[in-house]
Amino acid sequence: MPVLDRFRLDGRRAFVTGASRGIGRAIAVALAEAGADVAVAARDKARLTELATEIEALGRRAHVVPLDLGNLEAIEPAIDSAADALGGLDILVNNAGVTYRGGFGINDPAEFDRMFDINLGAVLFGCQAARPHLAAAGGGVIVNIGSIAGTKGTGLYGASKQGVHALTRGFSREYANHGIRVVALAPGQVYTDMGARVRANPDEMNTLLHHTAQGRVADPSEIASAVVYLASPAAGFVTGTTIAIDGGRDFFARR
Amino acid sequence: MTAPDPFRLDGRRALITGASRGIGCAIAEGYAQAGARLALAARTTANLEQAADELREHGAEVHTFGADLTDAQAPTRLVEHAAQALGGLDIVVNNAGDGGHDGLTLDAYRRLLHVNLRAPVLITQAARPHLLGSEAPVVINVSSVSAKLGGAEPYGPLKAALSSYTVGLAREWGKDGIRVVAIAPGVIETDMTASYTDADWWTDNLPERVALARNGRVEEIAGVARFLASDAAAYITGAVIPVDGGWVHQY
Repeated sequence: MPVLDRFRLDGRRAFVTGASRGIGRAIAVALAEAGADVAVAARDKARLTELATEIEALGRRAHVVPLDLGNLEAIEPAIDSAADALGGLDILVNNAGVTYRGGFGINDPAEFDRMFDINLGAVLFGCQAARPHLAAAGGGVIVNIGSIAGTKGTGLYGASKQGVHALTRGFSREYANHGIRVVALAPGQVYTDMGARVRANPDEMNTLLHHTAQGRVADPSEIASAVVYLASPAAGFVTGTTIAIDGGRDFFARR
Repeated sequence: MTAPDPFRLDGRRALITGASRGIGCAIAEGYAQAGARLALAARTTANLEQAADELREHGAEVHTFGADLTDAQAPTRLVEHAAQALGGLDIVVNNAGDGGHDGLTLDAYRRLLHVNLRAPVLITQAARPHLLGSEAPVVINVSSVSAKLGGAEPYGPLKAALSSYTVGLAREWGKDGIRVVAIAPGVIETDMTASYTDADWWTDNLPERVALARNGRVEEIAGVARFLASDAAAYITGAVIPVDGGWVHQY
């Protein structure tokens, strides 16, 4: 098979969380461009409906799943119903995530719980809910979106993302005999709504760029491209690992 | 030689959670031997009182506190009571943890999130004003080799989160002179691991998993915890120290 054909996802059925905006939206579109049908989950139904139209215009099927990823009980039914609608599931992208204003502290335990539920809990329960569907399809791929903040220890947000990297390793062992690969990406700063607060702060932004070899932020499509690769047969021997896509984040980056 | 022994903890005020059994109990004993004054916390106070009495018999000052760390209010309350009893705090050991052997359920996830991560964070932040008043403040988090190995259950990922928190907070609090470190124990023989440390599937595979080819003992964690709390470790912060017999595989 010619190499570029091994990156195709024709006929695959994907479920993407946090798909209404930013990285998640770019991932959903990229998967569809590569040939996959896509179930898109997020809270904002209007944005998802608009995204579904875009996916359908690419000649793929789309399935809209209004879902609050902080509601952990709702994840399994949502994945089950999407698998029903698409006739199965081959790819799960656990992308939904929220920032945390508390840094290293907890002022409001409920706010901390909700951040962890979305960033870590939803990934744990998403993997668990998707397993039978991916196994039934003869194998599949789970791509978790972690963060370079996890590796660097950036607040309790980073802690939640380091948890995602660790569960990726754990599930890769657990699910390998079902033919399921589990991988994670650790993006650096990406041009999204979520990163707007950092971009609006010149001091913080300059420091960040100073410690990034490429001296810029990523476009969401640069994360989405990696997801397409990891979800495809081209990445058939990749599992359990976390790949940094951070433009060369490095303390000594800019000389 | 008249210089003070940098490994001693004479007069240091230490709060240790999960101190009634296992690693926490051993750390308490090690600190008491080094001269520290102790505030010990555990969920069930019966075992804790027994452990405390043994330390008191050897002349240690020990205060005990019952605390259910799944409760969001308990950690802050515990710190206030401990600081009051000891007249401040120099050492905080976030040792209490929950292995969660009941699989990936919503109840287990929530309980583990609260005991293994939320409680240490709340305790550490409540302790900050007291640590700022200390000559040699240090926070020691007990993580796990599971942070490195990962897991398809909440325990390993939450220990990874605790390690990440440790590294980041060390950076944040370093300018205040507060050290923040973690110990990542491997398989230590305690009640928490009793379900498998004697099982054939575990002991048969030990030599290929652990370089030293044996399980660890609680004193072997307590020794490192004592070192890390002492002035001998004054330039160590943001480090997660593996104490695991060597999970150093070529595979």
